[in-house]
Amino acid sequence: MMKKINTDAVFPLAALVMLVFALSRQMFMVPPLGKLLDPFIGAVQNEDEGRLNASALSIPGKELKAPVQVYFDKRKVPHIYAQNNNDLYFAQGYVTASLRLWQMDFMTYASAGRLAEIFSQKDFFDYDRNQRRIGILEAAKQSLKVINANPLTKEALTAYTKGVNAYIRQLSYREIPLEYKMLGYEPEPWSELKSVLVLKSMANNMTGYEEDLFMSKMILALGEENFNKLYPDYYENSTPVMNANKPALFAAAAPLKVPSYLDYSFLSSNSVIAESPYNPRLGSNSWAVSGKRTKSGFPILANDPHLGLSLPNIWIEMQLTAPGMNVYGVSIPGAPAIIIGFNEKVAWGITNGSDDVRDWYKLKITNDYKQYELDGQWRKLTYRVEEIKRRGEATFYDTVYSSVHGPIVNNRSFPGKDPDMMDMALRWELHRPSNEFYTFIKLNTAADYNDYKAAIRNYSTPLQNFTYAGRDNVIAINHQGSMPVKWAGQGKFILDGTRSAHLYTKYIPVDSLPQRYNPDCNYVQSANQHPTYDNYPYYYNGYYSETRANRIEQLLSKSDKLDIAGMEAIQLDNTNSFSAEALPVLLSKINRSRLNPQQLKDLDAVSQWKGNYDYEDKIARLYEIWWANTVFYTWDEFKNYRFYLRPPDKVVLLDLIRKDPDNKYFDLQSTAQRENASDIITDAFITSSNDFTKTRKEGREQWGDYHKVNLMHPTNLPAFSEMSLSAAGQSEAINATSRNWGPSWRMIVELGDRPKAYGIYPGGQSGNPASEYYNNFTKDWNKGKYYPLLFFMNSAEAKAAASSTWTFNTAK
Amino acid sequence: MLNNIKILALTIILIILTRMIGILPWWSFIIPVVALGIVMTIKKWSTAGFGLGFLAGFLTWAGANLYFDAALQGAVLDKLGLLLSVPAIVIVLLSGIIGGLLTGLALYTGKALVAERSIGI
Repeated sequence: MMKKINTDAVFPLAALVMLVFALSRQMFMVPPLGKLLDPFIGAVQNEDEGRLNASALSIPGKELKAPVQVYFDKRKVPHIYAQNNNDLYFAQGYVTASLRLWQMDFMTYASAGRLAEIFSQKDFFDYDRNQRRIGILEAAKQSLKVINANPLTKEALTAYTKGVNAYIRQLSYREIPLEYKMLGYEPEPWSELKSVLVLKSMANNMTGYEEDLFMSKMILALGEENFNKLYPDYYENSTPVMNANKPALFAAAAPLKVPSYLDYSFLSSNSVIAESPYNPRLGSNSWAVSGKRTKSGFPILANDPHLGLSLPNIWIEMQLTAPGMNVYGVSIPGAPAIIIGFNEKVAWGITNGSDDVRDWYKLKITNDYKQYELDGQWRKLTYRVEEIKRRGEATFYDTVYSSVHGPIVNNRSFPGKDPDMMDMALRWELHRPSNEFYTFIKLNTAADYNDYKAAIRNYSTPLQNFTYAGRDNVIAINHQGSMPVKWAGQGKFILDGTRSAHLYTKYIPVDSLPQRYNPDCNYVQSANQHPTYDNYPYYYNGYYSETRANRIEQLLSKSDKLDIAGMEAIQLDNTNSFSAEALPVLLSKINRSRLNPQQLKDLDAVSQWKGNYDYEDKIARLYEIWWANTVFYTWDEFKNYRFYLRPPDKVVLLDLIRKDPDNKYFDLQSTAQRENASDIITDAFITSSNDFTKTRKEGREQWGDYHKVNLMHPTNLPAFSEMSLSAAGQSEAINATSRNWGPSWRMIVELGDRPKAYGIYPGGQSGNPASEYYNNFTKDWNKGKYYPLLFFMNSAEAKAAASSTWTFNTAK
Repeated sequence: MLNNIKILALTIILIILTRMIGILPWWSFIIPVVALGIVMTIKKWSTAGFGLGFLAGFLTWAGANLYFDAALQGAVLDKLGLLLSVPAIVIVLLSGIIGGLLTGLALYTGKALVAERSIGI
């Protein structure tokens, strides 16, 4: 007998359908729980590392011309053996995606301003609008045209893209990275544009900082004389990249004048400047030493780029091999080629140039945003419409206006955080179409200095210091990139957008850029310091830091029998050379008669200190508070400025203590009497000693108890991050560790018959938080260990050392 | 009692077999379970509906998560636990509850669809 459908079933059926629906999607920031916790395809399946651990895996590679072998060594570093460039970059894309797909994909969303597609909170929508308006996506599109016009880079980028997509295509939901499952979206196809976005993201990280408005207000508030004293462009004690032709007398350059157009009505003052996540105090170290100064007689190159520390790490290690190419180093997931590395004949490193290549022009605009004024004439504003997709909401169309200078980032429709930044146009070297891939691809196959020069010649953004060492004992350093020709002070302050004279049109010729070739001292070095002395014929400004470079100079000049162990010791050096210099000055000024017995005891202890931020050091913290208090008390008058961004450089303060201890800035605003340097240094010490006594009682006195490093996952989820790692070093020691920045890759290469190389980065080769290879290098990195980098001379060597092998087959 | 054990085993086998077919969506096991509910009524096996289904779903989801976590030697469950500040076992229980609810509802729906005291639509 056929039963009829029962109405009683309607309710459970409806409940079932609703439940399935609810568990399939992300709601109120809760991940799609049904899919995520499904044991057959959900999160637990991301523990499956069958592919990475497979002793032999065959992968269909219909798009390839010839088979490709990938040998993973024990640390899961892939050594790729291809028979032509196309196949090589295809395999690089495939292998990189298999290790880091979510990370590289997410980076392109962040770079392009597409985070609102993933996250529904309003903050991300604002982030996206800003990102579009500063023009990153637009710049990437323009650069892609230039990249595609060059056959070499077009081939690499196309093949890499195909490789990533071949990997994505064969993924089922079970295999997609965990983060997609958590956030409830799926991988989209890779594109050439995405690879460009990855490089633009790096360029943004390195050149996105600015102080133009702050400097403009400071020079008005302080007046020319004080401003030039407190915020000078050059410092006396420096070791520039181009460490030659030191002027006999330090002239502090020609002081900057308040530009005639710059006044309060021009800026309409009184505003708060948004804090930038970028820290200009942090950068990178790199040096190359000729064989004339090494034990082995072969040149050694060292590089440790300091970047935001993250899990997964910004770098991925690999060896790329094809006819005419055998290169090892680190690549950025999402971009073809090796960015920092070495081959049989040469090694190269990079550090950020730190120059100011981002300038703002105050415009005069008609109320309808149709026209702006230039040299007394009204010109049409151009505009483009940015389509911003939003999760769970209608697509937003944002109109971005541009003048001849660049895009207007903040206007009526997007006021931003600072009303003074309204209607200003941004001119940024990042906007200019450029082809950085060319440089890296050419460096990968460089055989000598001429190849190196040819590779970097057209490199433009972000400005970098390239360090070079060749097996033939040639060493060189180049401050390379587009450096505009500016008049003194141009770009340090807000510029006048109504005058074409404020636009720069020329660039410093490549051959005149700061550089050194085989200097007499037999080494070259860079650590984000000034590229030149103040006698360089062109004006430039930037966010340089001299401390690490001065220390590297001390250490390199000390020995002419350098070896790899010595280089490791230098990279891991925890001394802040400025602290070591400042301490005796502070000690000479302190008034002992005001100290109590405990404070005197602390003072005796600190006077033995040598500027060392070792993990176990028990004085470093005391000195840190002392110096920080001294800075705070000295520049207390600036706290009242609502636009206050940062105090004058520490070098300026130390100079003032030494030479002008009665300067008015030492007077505390909060007291009736007039203090001098000695008074506030003593005050600062009393406070720091008292503070430190308190924490010491809690059992915390070692530097490592305070100095914590965090490796953050891009989602900021602590479960996927490594939090509060006690570390040695300090932001201005060569071992420049800090809360979320630090040596993101340490590499030391000795060239010779066969390159000997060592390196390490915090993190692991896999981007999968469930993987045993996600974070397996971090402990060793933090202990200052190095791994031997297995540079194989041929595929037989790679095969013999392989823990797993992938073969791409061309069979149809 | 014997029926109950049979149905329990049958439900678990159905869920696992359905999930072996990779291309089906994650909730696809519901359909054979609903079908099983219908068959149960037609065959007049007197068993609990929701409770039995819940138990089968719970055991399968929680059990399979534990099994895969052990077999693959990863750390996902611990990390998901960290995310919610709970021990990993809570994640396993949560998955069991999800599997249980869905399976229980499915079996109950199946039974109800063709129940004896039906009033035709």
